[in-house]
Amino acid sequence: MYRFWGLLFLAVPVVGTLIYLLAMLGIAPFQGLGLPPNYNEAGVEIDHLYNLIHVIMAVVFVATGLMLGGLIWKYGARQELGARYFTHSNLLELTWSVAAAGILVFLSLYQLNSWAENKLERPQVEIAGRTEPQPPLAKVVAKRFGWEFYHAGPDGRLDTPDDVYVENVLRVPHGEPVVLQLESRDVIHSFFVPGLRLKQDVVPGMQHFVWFKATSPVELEIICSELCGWGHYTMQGRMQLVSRADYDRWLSEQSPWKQFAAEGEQE
Amino acid sequence: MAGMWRALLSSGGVLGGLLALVLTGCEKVPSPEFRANRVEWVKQERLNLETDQHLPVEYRTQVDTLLTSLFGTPDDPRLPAFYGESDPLGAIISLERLKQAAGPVSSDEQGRHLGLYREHCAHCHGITGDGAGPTALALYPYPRDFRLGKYKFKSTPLRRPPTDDDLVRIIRQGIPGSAMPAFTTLPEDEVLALVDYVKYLTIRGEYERRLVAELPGLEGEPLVDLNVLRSAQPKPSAAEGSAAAAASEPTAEQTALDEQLQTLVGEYLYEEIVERWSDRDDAITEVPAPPAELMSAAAPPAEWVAKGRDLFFGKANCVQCHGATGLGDGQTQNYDDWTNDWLKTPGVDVLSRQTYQHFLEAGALPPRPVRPRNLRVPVYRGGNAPADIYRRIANGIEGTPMPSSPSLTPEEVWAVVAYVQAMPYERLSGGDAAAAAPQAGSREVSGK
Repeated sequence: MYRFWGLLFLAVPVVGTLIYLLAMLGIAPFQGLGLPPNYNEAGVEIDHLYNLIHVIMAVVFVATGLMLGGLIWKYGARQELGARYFTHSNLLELTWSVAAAGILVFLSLYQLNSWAENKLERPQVEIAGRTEPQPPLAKVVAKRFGWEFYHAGPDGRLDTPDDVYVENVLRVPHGEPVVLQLESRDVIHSFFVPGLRLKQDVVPGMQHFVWFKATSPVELEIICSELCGWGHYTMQGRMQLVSRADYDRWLSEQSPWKQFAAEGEQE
Repeated sequence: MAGMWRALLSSGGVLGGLLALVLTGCEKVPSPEFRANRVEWVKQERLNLETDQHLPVEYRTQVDTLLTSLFGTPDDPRLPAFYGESDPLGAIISLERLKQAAGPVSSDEQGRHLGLYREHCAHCHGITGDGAGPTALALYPYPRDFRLGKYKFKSTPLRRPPTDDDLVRIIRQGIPGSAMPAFTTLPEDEVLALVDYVKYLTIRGEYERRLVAELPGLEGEPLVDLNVLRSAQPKPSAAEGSAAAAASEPTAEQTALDEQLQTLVGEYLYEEIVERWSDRDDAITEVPAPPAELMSAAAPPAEWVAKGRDLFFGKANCVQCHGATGLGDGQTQNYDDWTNDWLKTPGVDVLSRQTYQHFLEAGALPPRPVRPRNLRVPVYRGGNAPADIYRRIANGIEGTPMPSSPSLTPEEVWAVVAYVQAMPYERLSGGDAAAAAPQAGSREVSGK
């Protein structure tokens, strides 16, 4: 009987590792459980960190699983031993605290560069002879429950009358660094584009900037990943990555008066 | 070995018990019902009866039976089909779409989503469409109560119902600045199903109010003889069945029923309500072409902005509610029609809760003043395209203090549109606002 429980606990790390490997290799029926394809240049680095954390977790998971199953198998049947209780062991406490702290310190040092590149060092551009942070291509306003996108119009500046307003569909050029400015109208939201490995909380009253360099012309999903109210699930947007030429053409066609211009041409 | 089997069996028993609980638990939830419009009852009682008098309770069953026989239940919606094949209501609402939107949330064998209204709308707008769903109290403005038949953002003038395109647009784009989300990712057929369900709830709600308004005048006489009505029920359509029977052998009972139904359904429902919904597309307010200077500039030209500002403070009198700064801080003690509907009943004083406690108990939401829009923030509930703003100014906003402006010429309305568009970017202090309004974009244009 005790051997049965030993085997059951032993199956946890074995089956878990198997499913993880099948998912990462994309083998049915677990093909959807891995990460979605990455379309951001910086996303390669993030996927690397993600995989590294998984390897560390896998080692701990498999080791503890094997230990649990193995010990039950070995000692479970020997009922004459009874249970032995002890309340404290400095050596044990120190070992697992220091080991865990060591892993965390290693991770935090190891990811410093990618954190800086993705969260702190906004791309720089030359503007009128001076090097300045790249101005945002568009402003993303999160609200309950949807996304508003204000593209900087022909003047290249936000918050001017020529801003182009679109709801829920964000067009951005691929193959070049893009900066977005994030704001919230009401509560905390989180701007999440899984295909770009991009996630940023949007805090009301604050301005956040995110940047990325998309690699291909694809359509990606934008979702809110901070529970913001009952309509949280409807906060789905689309990000359409287009070529720079297509983006410029689209932007120039976005006159708020186009409805009347079209009528004029017909006449 | 025996111990192992015992353990397996007992864990199996626990699992089985849980499974049984889950399965039967789902069955026990009662299917929701339409909630009677008790606010309208209380209002009619206060309007027509002495303070401590009430309408006879038998009327509740009569109104309820009539509504159910004509419109069905939330799980099984029905359309009256009073005029058979060529029924005007059938031309407005498709029964097939209605059934897709109604009922509990599920999907059929083809993967088609059912119960759309309860999935996406009911938590705010309520099963009955009374705008009093579980989340209603937490939202400003309150979710729309469809039963008054009033819609704010539409292409038709005041007192005309919105077109289907207007309703599709509201569902697809949401209402910026309110809690109405944009259902951008819903497939076309699901949006159309929801549009039909919203029209269904609206017409049902309008009809219920019409029936209740009739009750005080009956002076105790029954609204409809339920026994006769029930005997005519087994056929799918009460009117068709009675018409067929009348052709063969019209009894006195059936003739009486026909007459009753002619008034109750033909007149109150079809003539007074359905007809309003029939020719909506002809009522659309055409937006005249804007002046060429407005269209060619990236930002509203200064002279149009100045003209619009003069109208804002003068002839159009926008300043009264939107305030001298346009921050929406002018007249702020108005209520919208959904509140005024019962708040204007004699004896009700908004400052004293005791005078309207009975309305709250009947299901009315606590009155909250309507806020004029802050025009310094470029968020426009009815859409931010110039044509949208034009329609808001020219047609007004149904159900709110925002009036239509028949005295303004199209050119003047366009001038106000120009001022409204310029306002969010105008400097409030620090020199001449008019000079500061046009920014980089318009300077470029005038330079050419």
